[in-house]
Amino acid sequence: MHYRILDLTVFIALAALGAMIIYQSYELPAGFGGDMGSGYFPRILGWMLIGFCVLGAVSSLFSKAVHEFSIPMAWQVAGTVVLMALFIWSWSTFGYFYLQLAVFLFVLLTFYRASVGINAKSLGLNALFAVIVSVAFYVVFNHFMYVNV
Amino acid sequence: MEILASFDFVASFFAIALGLFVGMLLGALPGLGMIIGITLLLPLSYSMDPASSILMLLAVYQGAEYGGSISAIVLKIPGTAMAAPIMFDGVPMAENKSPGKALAYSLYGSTFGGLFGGAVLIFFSEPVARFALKLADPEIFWLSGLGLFAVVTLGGGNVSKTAISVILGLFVGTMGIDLFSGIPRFTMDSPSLLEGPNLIAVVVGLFAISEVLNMNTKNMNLSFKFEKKDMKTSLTFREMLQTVKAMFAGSFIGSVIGVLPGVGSVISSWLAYSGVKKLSRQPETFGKGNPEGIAGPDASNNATVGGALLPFLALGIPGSASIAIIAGAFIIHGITPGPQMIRNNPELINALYIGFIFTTIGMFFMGRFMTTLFAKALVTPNALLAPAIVASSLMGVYSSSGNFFDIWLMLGLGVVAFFLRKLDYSVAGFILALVLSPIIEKSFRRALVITDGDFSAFYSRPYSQVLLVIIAGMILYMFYGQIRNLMKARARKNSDKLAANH
Repeated sequence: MHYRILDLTVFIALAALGAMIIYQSYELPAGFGGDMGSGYFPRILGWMLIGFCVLGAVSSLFSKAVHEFSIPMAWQVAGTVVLMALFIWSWSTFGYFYLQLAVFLFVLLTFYRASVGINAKSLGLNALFAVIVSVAFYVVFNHFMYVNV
Repeated sequence: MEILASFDFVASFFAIALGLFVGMLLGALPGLGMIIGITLLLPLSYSMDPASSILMLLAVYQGAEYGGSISAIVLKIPGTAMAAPIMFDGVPMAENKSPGKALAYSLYGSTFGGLFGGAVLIFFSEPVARFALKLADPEIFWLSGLGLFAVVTLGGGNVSKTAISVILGLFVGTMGIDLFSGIPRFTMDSPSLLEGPNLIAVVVGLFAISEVLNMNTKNMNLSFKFEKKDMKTSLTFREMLQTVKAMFAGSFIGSVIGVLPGVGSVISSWLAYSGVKKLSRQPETFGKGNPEGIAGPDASNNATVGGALLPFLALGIPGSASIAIIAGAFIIHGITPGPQMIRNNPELINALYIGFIFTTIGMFFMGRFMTTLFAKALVTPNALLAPAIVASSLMGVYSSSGNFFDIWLMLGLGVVAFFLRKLDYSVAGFILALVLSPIIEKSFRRALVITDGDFSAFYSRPYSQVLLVIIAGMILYMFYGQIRNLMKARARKNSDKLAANH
């Protein structure tokens, strides 16, 4: 994707957020006795946000730098986010945090090490790492920090 | 003796040791660094007493300043941005003499700087706090805003985008119940947002998760190699004496820069390098392994820690993202830093002073005996580090609130921050603004309540006028820098054209 297009899209989205802040701030009650009310400060921020988005958009339009926006190894980034989201969903639904953590770490590590090659030895090492980290977290959080997960 | 009685040695010892270990380790690992270290240990604050938790985070700060130099010298890759100047002389010394010697100059410099910064903190906190009591709300408003102006104007990034990051941070800081009216604002009817977004979830998402995603854009299985020889980090008394002047100069520069909001160790270490070079009797040997070129900037890096703490403890105003995250530990324990804390909570202040000095001494001994271990950790590939950071982040955020909403918030913010960082937005500016937002809004609105809505209160008092002049100076400096860059670019373009015509 072209960097400038993405830049402008983000500026538009942030300016829309600024407009929403201003709109919502008017729904908050007005203050009294010199106080400008709960919405006054956020309203100023909303206007400033729009102002800087316009400034940023203008400078982006006049900028001579032309380059593409790309994320190297985007599939790996997306994979990590999906695996994390699946883990959080599964943990909040089924519980058994440490057991699921060990499985999650094993899957994540295997995903990262896949480019090096998957064989019985590497899978065994990944499983060992996952178990060691999970046990370490269990000991630290359950026995030292008294966090009941 | 009374001061020592207020210090819990056992709890603080373990907290400092843990903080130093994590700080040195993450400081040494390129790409991670101090903020990730502080972020990952912040959730532990819940199960610790206030002094121990704050000292643990300060130990991370101190340890990471030295840790960054380990990879700069051993791998030629600075673990932290502030360790970059160390490479100029650290790498030639490691190649021509021994890596251990270069690391020793770095360690002695860091220790000297840490002690100097500690002394500045101890001797100046109370006078500054006494002065702070004279400040009224309009001055607190400008003083809090000073750091944000500095981040925008002196940060060196894209001005519009940094300003937007700061404004977003200020806005997110207004979410939750309004302390003036008791009315919920921008909570989207979610009870989880009534007290505002969980600071730990926000910090971990923005720094740790976005960094893990950033690691994913590179080869995760790459591991560095180095030769484990001559790693003994010791100096003779004579060798140490050779660098005392440089360490003094670096420490002075570091402390002064540390006090200034929004500037930080990156600028201080570069300034220290050029300052020490000018003061040196052998400036021509800089860049060829001059020990002063290692000890001076390293002293400056660690002296900024004490300097940066001064306005935070004395005025209650964090001047950098790292201090803003450390402020989280104060918030967790319901402590408001500032002149009232110094006056009403002398036990905590004394514990922090003593602990700060112990932290520096502890860093020296840990550096002396464990530098080889930290250097060995540099060979750990990101494929192992990333899952460990993710697990630690998940546990940390859950332990802070026991709420899955915060876990999802962490993941969502991590993804957003990853993209915004790629687009040049400032995550550090966002966090600083988030922590400063309640102080800025409270002082702004209270000043208007007291003056019955009269805005002249913000520019009619002498202290306000001084602060306004400083802010105006920053803005002018920013414009000057931009015009200079524009002229340089034009001159370069013209010379390129001329060269092409010939």
